[in-house]
Amino acid sequence: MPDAMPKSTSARGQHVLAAVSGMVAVPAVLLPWGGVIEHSRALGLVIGALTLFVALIVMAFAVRYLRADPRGAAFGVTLGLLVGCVLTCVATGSLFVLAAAWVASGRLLARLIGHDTTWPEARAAARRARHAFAVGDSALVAGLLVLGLSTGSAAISPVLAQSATLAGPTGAAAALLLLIAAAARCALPPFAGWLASSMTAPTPVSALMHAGLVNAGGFLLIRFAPLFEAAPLARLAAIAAGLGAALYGLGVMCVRPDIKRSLAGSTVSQMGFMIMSCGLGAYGAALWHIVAHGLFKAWLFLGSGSAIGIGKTPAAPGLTHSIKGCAILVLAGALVLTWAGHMDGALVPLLLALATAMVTLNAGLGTQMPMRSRLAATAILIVLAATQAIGVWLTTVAVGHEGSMVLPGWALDGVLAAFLGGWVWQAQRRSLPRRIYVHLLNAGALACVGAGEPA
Amino acid sequence: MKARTEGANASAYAYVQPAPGRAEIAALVALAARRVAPLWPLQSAIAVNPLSGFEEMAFDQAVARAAAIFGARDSLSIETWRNLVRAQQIDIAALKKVAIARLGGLVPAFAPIGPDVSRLDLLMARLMDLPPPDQPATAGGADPGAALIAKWCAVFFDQGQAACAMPGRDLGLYRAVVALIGHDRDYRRLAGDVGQRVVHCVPRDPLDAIAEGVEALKIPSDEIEETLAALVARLPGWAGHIRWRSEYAEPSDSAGAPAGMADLLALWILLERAGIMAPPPALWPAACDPRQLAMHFGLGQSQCASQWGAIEAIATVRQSELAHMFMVAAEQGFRDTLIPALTAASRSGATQQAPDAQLVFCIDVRSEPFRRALEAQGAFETFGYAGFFGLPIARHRHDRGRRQRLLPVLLAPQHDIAETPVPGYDVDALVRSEALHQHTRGLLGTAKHGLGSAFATAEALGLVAGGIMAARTLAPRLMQRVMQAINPDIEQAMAPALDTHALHPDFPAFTLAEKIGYASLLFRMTGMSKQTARLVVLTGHGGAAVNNPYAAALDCGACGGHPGGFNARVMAAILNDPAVREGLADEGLSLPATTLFLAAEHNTTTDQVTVFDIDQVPLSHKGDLAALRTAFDRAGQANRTQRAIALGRDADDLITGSCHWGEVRPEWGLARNAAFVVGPRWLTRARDLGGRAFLHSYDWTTDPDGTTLAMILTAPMVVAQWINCQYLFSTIDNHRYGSGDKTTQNPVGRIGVVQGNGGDLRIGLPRQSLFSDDGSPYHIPQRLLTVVHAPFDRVEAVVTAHDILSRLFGNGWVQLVAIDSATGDARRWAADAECAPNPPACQENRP
Repeated sequence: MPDAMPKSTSARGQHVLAAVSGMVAVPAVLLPWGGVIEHSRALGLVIGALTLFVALIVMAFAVRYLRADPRGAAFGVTLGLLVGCVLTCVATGSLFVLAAAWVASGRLLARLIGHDTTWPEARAAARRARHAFAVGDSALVAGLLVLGLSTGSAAISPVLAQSATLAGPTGAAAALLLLIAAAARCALPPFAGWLASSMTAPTPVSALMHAGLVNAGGFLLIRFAPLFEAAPLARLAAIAAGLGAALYGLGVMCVRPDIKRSLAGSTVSQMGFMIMSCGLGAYGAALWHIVAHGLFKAWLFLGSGSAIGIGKTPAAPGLTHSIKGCAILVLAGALVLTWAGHMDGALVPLLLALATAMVTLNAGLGTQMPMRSRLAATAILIVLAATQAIGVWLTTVAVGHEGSMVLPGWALDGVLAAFLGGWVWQAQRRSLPRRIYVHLLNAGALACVGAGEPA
Repeated sequence: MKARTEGANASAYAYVQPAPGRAEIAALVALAARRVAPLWPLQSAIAVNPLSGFEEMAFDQAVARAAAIFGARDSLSIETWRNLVRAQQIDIAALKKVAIARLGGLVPAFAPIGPDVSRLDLLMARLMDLPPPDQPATAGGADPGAALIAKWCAVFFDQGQAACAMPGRDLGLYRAVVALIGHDRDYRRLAGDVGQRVVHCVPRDPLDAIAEGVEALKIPSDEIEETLAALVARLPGWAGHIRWRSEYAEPSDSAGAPAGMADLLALWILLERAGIMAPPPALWPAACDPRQLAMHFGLGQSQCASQWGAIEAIATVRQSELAHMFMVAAEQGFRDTLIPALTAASRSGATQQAPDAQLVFCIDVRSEPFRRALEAQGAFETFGYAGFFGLPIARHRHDRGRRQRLLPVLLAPQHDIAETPVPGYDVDALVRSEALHQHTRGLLGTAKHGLGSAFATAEALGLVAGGIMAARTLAPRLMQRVMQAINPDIEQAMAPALDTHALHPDFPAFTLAEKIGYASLLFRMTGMSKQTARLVVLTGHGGAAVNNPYAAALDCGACGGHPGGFNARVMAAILNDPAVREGLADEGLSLPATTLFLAAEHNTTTDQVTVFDIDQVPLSHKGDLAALRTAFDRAGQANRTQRAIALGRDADDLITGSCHWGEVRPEWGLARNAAFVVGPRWLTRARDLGGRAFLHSYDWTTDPDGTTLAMILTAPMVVAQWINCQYLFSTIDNHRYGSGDKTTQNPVGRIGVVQGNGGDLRIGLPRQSLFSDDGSPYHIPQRLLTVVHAPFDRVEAVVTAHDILSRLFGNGWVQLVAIDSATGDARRWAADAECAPNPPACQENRP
């Protein structure tokens, strides 16, 4: 018994070592092929740093958490390779390498979802992920092929430089194919099922998946922004798909009684919002959303074991009225901006953030709490709002280009009104129509749940 | 698949027997409900025997029957048992003894079968060598019906996880689900058009629905009870939750969402009528081929022919019986080392020494190693008593709406105790920080779900979340210190208020007579003499774990799955009350005026001891307390070092693990529990029991009529048996009786966990609480051994006078050994099966 300790510690050390070597080896092998991207390098840096940070935390967490996992070694290796693939994806300058790393990361992710190979449910979930990725990956390969063939280059930078000149149908087809690839990876409907049924993966895998892997779709859209700028149809499709996913995912989040699938619903919703922002041309805001949401969601997943203890979270008092008031105020502001001709796609996420800040500030100030607590709450909220503003500004600078208008001002007001109106409706605690409730509840249900347990 | 689908001629069916009425159905439902054990929410996890509905049967029959009904294993796999023998966790000599007994004694066991081969060799080969011992079992088929009902139970019983509650919850489980299930695509896929028709025409009252369904499905009236019980057993988790709600919960827990077992059964009947059937049961391997056995020993044709009967008899011993033999060997091996040590101690008698301090600990198995470590630090006398200190109380925390029941679940709270600020603490700051917390939580919860705010919330909190995540993972102890600095210590700042009833402020929580009663009960139950030491410390216990759904399973079971410090504080306050002391003196218990009672809490994860209300200790006792606290620190260090070895970590890491959010095994809990010893501490003090024994102090000389012994055996021992059975069954089938791997668990409804994407609410303990990192069982599944130090005739009188005891001992759920206080001889209570037809008279003498 006494010698079990050093042995298991060194075994764990090996897993970490294997993971780290995977992280290093994949980029080291693949990146020399076609070199690194010359175009908008900050994007790769930001997402690479996020992925590395979350991977580091997840590895450190898993060393303890997966201590008794008989497949711990396989986990370490797969995780390392996966992170290596993501890093390659964001850094590479070659279309081929991008496609290879993208496809490989999907396969590795499916393997982590089916981590417990003796469990039929885990195998089914992995299969579902593989199927979704097969569609998305085919679209990606096809899209990149179209781009490569029509521009005659296998490197990303020249393709991006020429993409603005790509004539109508070719550019639109390539952009739509890339959008499908992004939607599959971001788990936007109709691909949402793989993410919603991926709870067979151990908790740290979920954390990494929701923080690092689903973002690949957003990365793709921002990376190929010049192409999308030239293909308004694809951008409209992105807005529609994103808006739909944002509403759908939020619905799933609100009806699920289990914490992990509720978080998955939230991720679908957040990814939808991010893709929608890309479609609107708010690339900077989308990138900040990727970073902040990644950290936020990883935190929630790793902390999911705390969701025990009877008792509803108390609703913040007086919120309904303040939501209504703020929503009307913000919408009125948007209409004024539209009338003045200053409404812009990038303003939609900002105006929603403004509404949130107004509502929370109001809730922080206008309560029965002692003055000191109110001031403390307000100060915290101001700091948070400032962080977000600075974050968005920094990522906007990093991306370096803002999108052009694809929707007229009144349509942007419509998008904004959809969110704000839905919020007001929600705040009045209306219950969902039965059919919709059941549909949301069944999101991502596997036919064989409860069918068998791990052997 | 659709064998029981309602036929077109269902209405034309003529019944011979009268259909059961509502009252009859209600009675049958109540009987069927007993098939599963109640399941407490994990917030106050209580260990229960998952086979509590089978205790009327002998142990091995019950296990086999339950295995068939729940689709579970009936034992560990033979290979796992063999590894335990190889690892010397089970004595091979004990296994041989069991094998010899199975063959009918020494003579038949050593009867030769061939050259140098005896029947014992054959049986031992089957036990230890013969491959393949466990054919892969044919797994049970998928149970889509169970998955469907489990999904609906999860939304109905949700206690605040989903922001958007299930519509129509106030109608009750059955009606709410019937209103929605027609839209459920899983249901449509399984049941098709028949399903839609059934949903439209079934009665909306659950009892009526069951009555009508029983008729429609043509279930003979003598099979109704068994049919219903089998349906209850298909979702033991949710059915157990319903039992908890109807029998043990606060009324507020089920407000606005009524549900009984009839609702669940009505849903099952609905599915049956819609043609969704149960899957085929899992099949486990039975026996081996005699020819294989003969070949293993190279037995030739001629020997085989002459001894074929003997070979066949051994080859056909069922796998489950082999596995049972391993368990009996584990039990016998344990007994054969423990009992002689105790009888020897009994013969040498007590050694008296005036203690510097006396400490009363919980009977929990984790107290034993700590008590031993503490006793090594000085003249400390320790006692074992149920950790709620005999106080049937409920605590009304100032910051929670829900009262906490701090008592064994067998009892109902008699006293509602509020909290009052301890002088010297800044109560305003406490209230302020609490209000800010509440508000922030509420705001965050609302903002996360808002369609307008969800996205900005994630964006604004991202960096903060990243920072917290890094700190909790890489510097958990620093993080804990920071959190403690920010948050005032509520446990120390608020003390129990004994003089006001929490619900009726005009009345006291206790009358003086009640206080005196609980105080004298402590002395009666533990045999503590009235010559108390200067310090008497009542030491409750609790575990420390963060981000762990099973945190409460590490707390005190006698306090209803909560830490025991509060009860200790109440008890200490009672015993320090001068009026109580006077009352005790009137009963003949005049305690020395110099005795001070203190409350403390032993953290079983870190082995640190918190002493409560230190500021109120008079100057005269400060020195005693300082010495005791030094001893606590040293004992804690020693015990932590010992426990770290068993956990395969270093001692310091146990403290890190207690506050690390990724720790899946902060401590071993009550794993390896094996014995329940009722007797004075001097009986066990010389021996290292390895944290495997519940120790209840008892002095037979102060209990002439056996009432105290009866109380100990019928209450704390029964709780110990529940714990023992929970660990036993969670180990032998961690998927059916336990909750599986912690890393893929998914907390549901704030009350429990499911595995992965859904399914039944999980019962029992997770794999990490029972199995070592390498997958071998750390907990050895064996039945509780109760040892009582008292005159034989008194033990026998108590056992025969209480049905529950004769059932548990007679049916072999618990073994009983009595050590005669006069002679030091030990006798084992034989189970009914061993000595029919005259059970009580049959007791076997043991050396």
